[in-house]
Amino acid sequence: MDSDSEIPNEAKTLSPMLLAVLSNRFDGVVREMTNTMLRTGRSAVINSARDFSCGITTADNELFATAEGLPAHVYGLNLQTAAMCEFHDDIAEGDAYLHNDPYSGNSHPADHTLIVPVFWEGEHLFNVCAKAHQADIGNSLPTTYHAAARDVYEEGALIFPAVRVQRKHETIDDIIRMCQRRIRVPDYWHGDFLSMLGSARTGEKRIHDILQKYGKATIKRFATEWFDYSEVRMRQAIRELPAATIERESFHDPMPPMLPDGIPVRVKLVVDPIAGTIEIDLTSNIDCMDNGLNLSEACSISNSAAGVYNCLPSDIPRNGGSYRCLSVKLREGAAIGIPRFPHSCSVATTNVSERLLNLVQAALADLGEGYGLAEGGLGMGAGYSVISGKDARHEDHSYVNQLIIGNNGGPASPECDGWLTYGLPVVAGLMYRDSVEINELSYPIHFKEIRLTQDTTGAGFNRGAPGARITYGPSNHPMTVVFAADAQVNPARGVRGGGDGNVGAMHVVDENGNKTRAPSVGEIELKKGAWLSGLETSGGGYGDPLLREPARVLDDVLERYVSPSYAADVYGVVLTGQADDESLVLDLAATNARRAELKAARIA
Amino acid sequence: MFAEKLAARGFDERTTHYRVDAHYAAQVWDIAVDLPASRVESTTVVDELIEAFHANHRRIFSVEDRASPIEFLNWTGRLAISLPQANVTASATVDAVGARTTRTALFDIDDARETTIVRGDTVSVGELIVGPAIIEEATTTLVLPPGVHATLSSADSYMIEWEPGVE
Repeated sequence: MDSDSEIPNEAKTLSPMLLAVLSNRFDGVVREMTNTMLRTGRSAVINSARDFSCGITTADNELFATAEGLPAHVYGLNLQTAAMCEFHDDIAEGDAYLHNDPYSGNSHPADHTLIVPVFWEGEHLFNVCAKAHQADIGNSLPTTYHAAARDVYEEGALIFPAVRVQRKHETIDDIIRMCQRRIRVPDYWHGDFLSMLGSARTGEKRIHDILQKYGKATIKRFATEWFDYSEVRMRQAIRELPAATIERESFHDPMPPMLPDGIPVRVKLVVDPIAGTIEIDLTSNIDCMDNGLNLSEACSISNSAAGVYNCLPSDIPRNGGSYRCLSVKLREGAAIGIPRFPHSCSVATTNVSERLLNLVQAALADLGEGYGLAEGGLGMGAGYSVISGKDARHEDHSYVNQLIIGNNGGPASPECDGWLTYGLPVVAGLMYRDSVEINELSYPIHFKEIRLTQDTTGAGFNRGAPGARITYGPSNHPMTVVFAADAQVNPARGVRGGGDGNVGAMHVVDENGNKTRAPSVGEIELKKGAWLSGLETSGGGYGDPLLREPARVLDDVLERYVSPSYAADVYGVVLTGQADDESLVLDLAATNARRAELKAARIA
Repeated sequence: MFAEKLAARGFDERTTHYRVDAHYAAQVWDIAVDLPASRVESTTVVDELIEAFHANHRRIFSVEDRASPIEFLNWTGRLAISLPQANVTASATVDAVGARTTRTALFDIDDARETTIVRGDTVSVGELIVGPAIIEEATTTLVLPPGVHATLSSADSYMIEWEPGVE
């Protein structure tokens, strides 16, 4: 079966050049929306870390353009605009809608999404979406990740299932006032709301510019052809994979007392190169849990699909067209699937999502040498916690914000070592990092250290990237820190003989230097003089470390990713001399002997 | 002072321009606003400046926030001097004879055109080059699709114009 034959020839009227120009024009719209939000946001999570994504869906709710949107955010925009269309039969030009409902297409309640329907010549053609992780959403605790919430009521988030917030370009102030009475630091929230609104309205204007120049008929034709092109690219890529059915399971860390055994994450992948499809079956996962770690439907789809896209050529457009080649099987009422209201999805975008994404890309490594990826470093430890309190420098003004300043290392791939500034699997290095200086100006926080760690990476023919150690504390009043970490028991796994990443840990260090292990999930209060010190995690390795070229191991020692003793113990690479006086060199004969010894020990 | 020194040397056609970088409270990126006057001494000027900031924020980002304080940070002045018109006359450095050729080039799928190929150093000031044409300069290549024409200005720049619908 040839998919080209499925596209009628008479429909192919746009030149490939125009197709390329228009796809970039629409990605350009998304980038301008992104720039608008970054430049105007008030919370560091938006104006520095870029924990937000913009995108465009078509009026019939297919994901159309996403540019550099975060995978965990953008898939699902189509479900959200579909909900908007379902809930409102009087959608008109000048409307705007607020959506954060994980039961009708959103990722998790913290990701407020502003949707503006775009009309041209009276016809609804597109929707522009600006989705941003908020500093606060009115939860019962000062965090946007409420892991212990038994249900949506204990979670406490205000939920907006595509609620109209503008009519004829006028804001419906009732909604704004409701939010300002329930969301902490209402002035910041309102500023961030305006930032999303500005982003969406800017996107609307730029789509009008495109329609003005090219006309409605050409743009509608373009949408059809761009989806078809994306589908063809995806099908071709899947046709080059070996046929296989792969089942794999991994575990989110235990969270005593809530989850003493951890959370199993299961997937069955059916790769069918003849049809050019991949089926992702998530139906064997456990039922919804009485905590905030359930995945939303959007997160179940986006993160399992991202695991597949990560292992295919990176220039395949991520949109409704290429998505036609994937079928994701979900079960209603499953913790990884379609959540049943009122089970909480507060932490849906990160913890279990990271496990799911890692699981899928590592499962694809079972296709053979050269396929798939190792698991990426994960866990929202100290560097990704939500801090809150009062700022003595500004008349005790309240603050709350998620730090995005940690680092987990990227997974090794068949081609290269892990990406150093990876962050979390669900953002895949696309987010920015906070600036220490701007964070210290914006919040009463003092950073003591952020450094990469040594001898932590998942070893391999290609190795994972290292995680960071990060230590900070309050600069005046006590600071509340809320976190929901992972990978403090189960690390990121290596594949095809590659080693696992390290396990993370968090400690509270008091003013006398005494260390106390912090729980991986919970809330602590730090007084001035005390520090939270987090060891974050590295990515898994790909392939046998004993096959890594000795010269690359020497490089790693010179760069201080690994120590000479680790090089000898794990890679079997023996070095002589010192790095300090530039006399460090490989001892190839000793290396060969050492590697033979390590291989023999494995067999024994 | 500096302006007076320049005026004494004959550069007396000058303009002065003031602007300030500003942002709404808690924003970390600035936008520039032109000052309505050379001094900010009256509340009228302050009000004008505030209005100018809101308007510029709306122009760039489609929204304004009238409830928010505005922080004005970096105040800058720019002095511009009009230099006398330089009489640059570029001219063809190479004899044009034999320097125009043609070849077939694709301007779209199935749209092959007989295209003039022009060596840049053979073009004279004011000369009109009508597309479809390709101008080959030492450091770049200019493609003139059908409907586009170029002339070489006295300042040695190509002025390219496009008339929609005309080929």
